[in-house]
Amino acid sequence: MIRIFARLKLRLLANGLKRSKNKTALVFSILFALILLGLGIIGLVALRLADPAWFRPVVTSSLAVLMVAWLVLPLLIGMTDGTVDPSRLAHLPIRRHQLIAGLLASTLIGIMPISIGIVLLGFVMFANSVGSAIVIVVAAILALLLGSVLAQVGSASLSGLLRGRRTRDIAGAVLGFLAIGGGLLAQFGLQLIDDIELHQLEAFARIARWTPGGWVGQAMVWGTEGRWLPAVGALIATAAGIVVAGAAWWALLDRLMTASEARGGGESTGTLVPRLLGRLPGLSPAIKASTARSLKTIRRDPRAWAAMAGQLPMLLLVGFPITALSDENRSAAVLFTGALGLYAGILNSNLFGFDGRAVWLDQLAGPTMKPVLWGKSLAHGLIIVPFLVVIVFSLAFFTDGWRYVIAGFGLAIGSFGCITGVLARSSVLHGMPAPDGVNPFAGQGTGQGAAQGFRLMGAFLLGLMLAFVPSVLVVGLSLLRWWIGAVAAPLAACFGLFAWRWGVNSAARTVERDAPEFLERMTLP
Amino acid sequence: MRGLTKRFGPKVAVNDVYLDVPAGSFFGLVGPNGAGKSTTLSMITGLLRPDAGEALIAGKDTWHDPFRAKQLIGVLPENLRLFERLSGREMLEYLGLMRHMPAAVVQARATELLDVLGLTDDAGKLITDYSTGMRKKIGLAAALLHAPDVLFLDEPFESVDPISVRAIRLVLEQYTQSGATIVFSSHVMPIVEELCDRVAIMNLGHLVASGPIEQVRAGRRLEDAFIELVGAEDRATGSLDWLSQRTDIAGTDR
Repeated sequence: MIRIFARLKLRLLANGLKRSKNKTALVFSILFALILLGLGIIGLVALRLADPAWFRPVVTSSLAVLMVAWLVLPLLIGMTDGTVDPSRLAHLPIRRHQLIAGLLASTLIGIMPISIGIVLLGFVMFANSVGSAIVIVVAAILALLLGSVLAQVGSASLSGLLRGRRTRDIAGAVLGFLAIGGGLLAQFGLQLIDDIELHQLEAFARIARWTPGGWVGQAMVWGTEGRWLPAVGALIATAAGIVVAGAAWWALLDRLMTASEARGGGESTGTLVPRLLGRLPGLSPAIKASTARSLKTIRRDPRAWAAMAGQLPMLLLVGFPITALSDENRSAAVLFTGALGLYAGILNSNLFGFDGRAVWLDQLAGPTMKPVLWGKSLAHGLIIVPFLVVIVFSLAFFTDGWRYVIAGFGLAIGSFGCITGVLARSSVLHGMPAPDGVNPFAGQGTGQGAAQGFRLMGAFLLGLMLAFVPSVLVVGLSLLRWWIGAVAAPLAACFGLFAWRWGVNSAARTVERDAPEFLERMTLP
Repeated sequence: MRGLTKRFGPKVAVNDVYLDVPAGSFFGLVGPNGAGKSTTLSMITGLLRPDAGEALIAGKDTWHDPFRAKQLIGVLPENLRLFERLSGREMLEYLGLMRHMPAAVVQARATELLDVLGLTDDAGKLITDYSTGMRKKIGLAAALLHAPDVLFLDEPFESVDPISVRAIRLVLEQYTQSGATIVFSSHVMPIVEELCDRVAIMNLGHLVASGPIEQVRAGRRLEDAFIELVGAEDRATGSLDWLSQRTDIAGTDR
């Protein structure tokens, strides 16, 4: 069965390359994997040349972090490998252990797992005997299996939870914590890179060695030290971890392969939002209707919902460490909201993808796409802007930086508008259709996540360039004289709103002009 | 089926359904939209977990012994989920191999099925490029490939052209003559009447009638019996007068 699944995966990948957009995704994926591979090899060589005392904490910590990243990142990017979608095999008599083994084999066939596998096997350069080489190779293989299973379990469990609206609230909290955990790890990593001392890393490694990733690292370390018994013990513990994660996957597969809820569910959609929107002045009924629909989509669609629920806590997380600045500059932390506005705008990156199928209906609904796009864009704005307001006022409260509130808010709106405008345009040129699978976090083929990441990065850089001049102007003027910054801030906000308007209108024109090409981009696979 | 029940929130989609389908019968499951036909078929075939009750296929419980039960059945579900990036022929081959069928047998049967269903010319095309009717036919081929004892078909004739309907009917008739059982849901009463020897009528999640087709229709056309049993009323169309007085959104007469 493993061989059949492996052949199926290869066939699906090969057939996928018959489509030009999949070829592009593959190129991006290879590029991304090569960057990671290069960084990994450079890291290994640097570690080989460094003081041997660094080996133990670096190996344990890096493998622990790798496993956490393997679990969390696919959820935040929304891209585990779903090429071989198990729900398409639900009617077949396949024993569960065969299915797990087959899916695991298919998961390991891909550019990213192979790249990570090469880096993991690269630890063999630290072997000092045949025995230690064997321990390192076995540990590397176990790490690869563990990471693959964890990624699948993470997305399967979350998608299982997200299929019920009530449990989405719980999942939101979990995802928020995961996001915060990931953010803390990233910050810790940045601090380490900035100013690291051996004893700090050892302190971290002492905690990390109790995680499944840490066990693998410990096994490698003990292998090189010739401590065979603990090394074998750590390998057995890792294998047991794989079995436990596999058992969780086993249980979750059942949920993924058999529907437990109604399609559409008959749940109330509520009338409060449409009513409130109806009272907003200056918006056409079409835009109001589209905004209300988009808000409902975000609430209902697991992936859109997860993007919001998972990343909004990051806004707070990224914002508040800045309050730890020295007393002299603390109050200026409020101006940091410009960067938060940019970050918040990223949530708009796949404006059309979340309900890709609906674009067909949108195309038929009227002669212009403007109301549709504006509705989607405003829906995101209605969620994010209150968050930005809360952050601006909270930062002002914690840093006593009330004099920077107007400038901070102007910067937040300005940068949010710039990035939203650029991403509105890029979302129609490079939008990614939502997966046609039961698992909303599973991509339809290799390279989708990497391709989306590169597109996002490009659009983000463009948005950053656009927001750069007004932001620097307002920040500079604020630091010179706070009240001059406050006077200039509305200009930055207007610039952002203008960019937002340009982006959405231009995107709408593109869709109207190139409707067939746009629909093709938004159609799976 | 023994007391099969499924709730979706406050709505009871299938309510305590007991039904026996005799082996070798051509069984039609009919009912209006939302009657619970697809939900019932999904629960029997192991695609939707019931809240209560059990589904037995030749004595094998779909939910307690899914491996054995799924060995016996072929399924063409309502929301057919296929591997879009496989060609029709490739999909049949992989599904056959996953059912532990010898490769040579799979290839021979796939060729024959593709031919009978008129898909030979498109056998190498990716499924994503198939029309709705073609998807239905390749789904039927996949369901028949292993010559199952029981075949479950959810709306097999929907979106299929008349030539293909004829081809599918011939295949199914030939198939039941071999002693196999077919359970299929449909809205097309004349086809049900013509093909089936037994029928069950569902309405609002309940089974309102079942038995030999002659007994259920009681001398009437099946459609008349169906309308009477589900209590359908003639709906007034007077309120749609605006359809004959078309104006554009701004209120200007066309």
